[in-house]
Amino acid sequence: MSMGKNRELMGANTQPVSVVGSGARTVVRLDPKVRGKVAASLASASETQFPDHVYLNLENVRGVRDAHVLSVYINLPEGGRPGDHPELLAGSVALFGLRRASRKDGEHAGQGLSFTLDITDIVDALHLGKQLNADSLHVTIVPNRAVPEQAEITIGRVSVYRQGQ
Amino acid sequence: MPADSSELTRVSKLVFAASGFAWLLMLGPTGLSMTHCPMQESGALAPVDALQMFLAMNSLGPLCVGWAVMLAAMMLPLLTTPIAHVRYSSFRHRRNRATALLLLGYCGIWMLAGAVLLPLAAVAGMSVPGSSWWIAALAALAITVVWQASPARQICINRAHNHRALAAFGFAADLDAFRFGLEHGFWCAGSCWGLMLLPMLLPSGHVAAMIVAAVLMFCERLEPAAPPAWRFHGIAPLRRILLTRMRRWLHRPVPMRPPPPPFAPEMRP
Repeated sequence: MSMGKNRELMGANTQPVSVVGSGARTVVRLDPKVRGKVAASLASASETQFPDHVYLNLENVRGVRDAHVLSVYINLPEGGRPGDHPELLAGSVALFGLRRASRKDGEHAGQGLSFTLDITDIVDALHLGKQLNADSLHVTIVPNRAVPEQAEITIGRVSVYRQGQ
Repeated sequence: MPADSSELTRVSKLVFAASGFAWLLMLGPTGLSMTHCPMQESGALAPVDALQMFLAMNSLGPLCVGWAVMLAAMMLPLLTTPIAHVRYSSFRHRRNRATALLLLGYCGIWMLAGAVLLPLAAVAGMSVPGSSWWIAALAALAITVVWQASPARQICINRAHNHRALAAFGFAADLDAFRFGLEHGFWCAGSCWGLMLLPMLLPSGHVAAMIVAAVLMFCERLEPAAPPAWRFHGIAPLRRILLTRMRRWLHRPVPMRPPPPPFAPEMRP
C-alpha cells in the first residue's frame, strides 16, 4: 500500500517477533510527541480538516513456509478470543512468496516481505474511548493455523506510522 | 521496509548535489593525487622499496582528504536508498543523527579500504618502469573484469541490497544506524574495490576513468539482487530508466507487453 507524503514514524517495537504455534504478541512503544499530534488531529477533525491516517507496518517478515495467513489485532485483551473482537482486527496478510523473498540471494535480497495495514479507525476508536493516552499499543498476531517452529517465521519490526493531511 | 517515494526523491536530490560538489572539488587542489619517485621513470622498484617510497613522499593528511573527496563523489549516489531507509525508519527528530551515523560507519569502512588500496595502487604503479605503466593497468583491468563478473561479487551486491529493520529508540537506534553503515560499507567495498583501484593506476585521465567507474557502479545498484552467477553488469538499467522517463516526458505511451489472447473454450461438435 502506498502511503503518500508527510509520513513519520510514530512508534515501534524493540525486538524481532517470532511467530510460532498459536501466534505472537508484541508491544509497540509510541513516541509521546507524535502520538500527541495524532490525538490533536483526531480531536480537531471536521468535514474540511481531515485527521491523520495511522498505519501499522509489519517489516521484514521472513520465513520458509508460505502457506499461512496472519491476522493482526490491536490491543486485544490478554487471553481474549480474537473472534470476539472483530473491531480490533487491523487486517490479515497472506504470506505467499515469503520463502522466495527470504532467500538472501533472491530478488528481495533476503529482506522478506513487508505489509502495511490501515489502523486509522481503530486508533480513532481508542481516541474516542480515551485510550490513546497509553504509551504503547499491544499487537497480537494470530495465524490461521498453528505455525510449526520449522517455518521460522519472524517479523523484523512492527511499527506504526502517521500520515498527516 | 521500502522508503516512501517522496523521501527517496528528497534524499536523491541532496545526495546528487553533494556528489556534484565533490566532483568539482576533485578537479581542484583537494583532488586525490599521489606523488611518485622520479627515479621510477627509469626503472621498476621492488614492492617493499615502492611502499617505503610511497609512504615517504605522500603525507597522510592530503591522502585522506583526497580519498574522502573521491568517495563522496563516486559513492554518494549509491547511498540514496540506504539513507532513505534509515531516515524513513527513524523518528523525525532523529533522522539527521541516524543519517550521520550511517555515513560514519560507511565512510569508516571505506577509509580502511583506502588504507589498503592507495598503497596497493602506488606499489603496483611503481613496480614497473614509468614508460610501462600500461602493464600494471592491464593486469589490474584483467583482475577487475574477472571480479566484476564473478558470483562472489554478486553475493556482495546482494548483501548490500539487504536493508534490515532498525531499532527506533535510544542507544539501540544509534547503534543500529551505525552498524547498518558498517555492514553496507563492507559489502559495498567488497563489490566496488576493483573499480576504485583501476583509475588510480592510470598516468592521466583519472577523473574520466572515475566518472566511468562511478556510472557503472550506480547502474549495478539499480538492478535487484540476483542469484550468484558469472555475469557482466552494464548500463542497461540506467538506459531503461532514461528511456522510460524520456517517453513520459514526450507523452508517448510506454510499450507494454501485448495482452494474452482471449480464452476460447473448445466447441464440442
